Amino acid sequence: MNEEQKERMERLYIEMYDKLMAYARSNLDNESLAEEAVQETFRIACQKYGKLFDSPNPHGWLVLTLRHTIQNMKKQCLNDKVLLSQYLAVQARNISFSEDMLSLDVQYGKIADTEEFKIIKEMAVDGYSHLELAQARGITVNACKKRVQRSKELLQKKLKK
Amino acid sequence: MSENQNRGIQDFSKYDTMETEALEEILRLDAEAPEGQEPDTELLLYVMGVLADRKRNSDNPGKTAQEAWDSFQRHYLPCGEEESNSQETESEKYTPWLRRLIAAAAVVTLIFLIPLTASALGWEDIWPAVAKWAKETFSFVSRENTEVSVPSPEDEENYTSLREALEDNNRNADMIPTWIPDGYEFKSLKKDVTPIREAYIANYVNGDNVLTVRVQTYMSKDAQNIEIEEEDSEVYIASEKKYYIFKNEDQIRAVWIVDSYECIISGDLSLDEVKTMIDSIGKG
Repeated sequence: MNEEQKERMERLYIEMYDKLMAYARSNLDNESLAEEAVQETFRIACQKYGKLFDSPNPHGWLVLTLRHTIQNMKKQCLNDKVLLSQYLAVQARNISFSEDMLSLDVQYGKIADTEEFKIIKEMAVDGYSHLELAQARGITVNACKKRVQRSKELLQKKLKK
Repeated sequence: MSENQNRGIQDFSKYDTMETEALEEILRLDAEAPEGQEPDTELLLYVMGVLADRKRNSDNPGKTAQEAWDSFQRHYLPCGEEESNSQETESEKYTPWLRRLIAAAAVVTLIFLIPLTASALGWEDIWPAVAKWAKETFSFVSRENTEVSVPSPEDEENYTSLREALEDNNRNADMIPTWIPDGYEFKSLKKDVTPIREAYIANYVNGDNVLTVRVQTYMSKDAQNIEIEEEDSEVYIASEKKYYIFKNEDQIRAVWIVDSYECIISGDLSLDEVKTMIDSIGKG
């Protein structure tokens, strides 16, 4: 976007942010996920600047995009939970049961302690946004998204083995 | 009829006092709508605005828009600009769909395209407030605007007449009146286009009185399902065609269908004036 486009986007952002947050809050579990949905919507809006402002109703365009974003987030969250459950179930087969329950905790802990497991679990189960995960790791949001994707691919690869 | 209703602007003020939970439910149900279903963005934006105001005035207003914009530029905007513009997003995959709102129970005077839940899904049992609203929106007084566009002064076109606007857009101009009651002068013409509807709205003023002549058509075949209930209307026959005239206190509305077009006259008129307008259709 050039400077003029960015200013136009900013005006629309300021105008619509609170309303879009109201929509997102009504549909998501917490404030940070709601904000993530709205930020993602505007990220798409920046990508599709032409389509947005050529639309006869940019406000409606944003609402529709937010709706899709939320639907995708929920779908992804569900898929991630399934992935985690499957991963845990498969890994649990390798756990040896003994009278030493501490050993059992340690064994489970080892499975859950991997970065790939943790980052997906924090997102899908604990409800952290990409921004929160990124800030906790000292990386950018974009880098965090890539890390999440790589983690999912890694878990899926381990499942197939 | 309120002034806004006179001008064909839907009145959402009833949502100002609705409970927050009920307003949030409206937004939740919209998010659960099937892919491709067009939202009623006028309604949604109004509800979102009410909720946003309440949040701003609460003890925990959250981040301001400016703070969020600053965060967006720092954390998200570089991502948006780096990715390819040719990448298709989910928002581009939807197709316009018919949305029909069926009142839970009531006499319906006009059936248009109204988004929200259908009675076939049984939602009226869970959502009595919306069903009640739906009934009211099907009544004569509040059925003018049904679509997603948000009116603005920029929408007004530089046409000097409705006929000119229709002809310029290759629409049949012979379906509108050629006579306007004395004292009324052409004020404005708005062309309102959404993904599923195209409307031409001409306003004429006579002092404080406003007369509106509106022509609209729907894009998809599914959407062209305009039905008019004869009950509660006077049926006027002119040139072997039916025109439905509805009266509500001092306001009058006439509706007729030409092919896929829905034509509406509304304003503070006498019955004779409306009939004279109807008689002038297609004449000169």
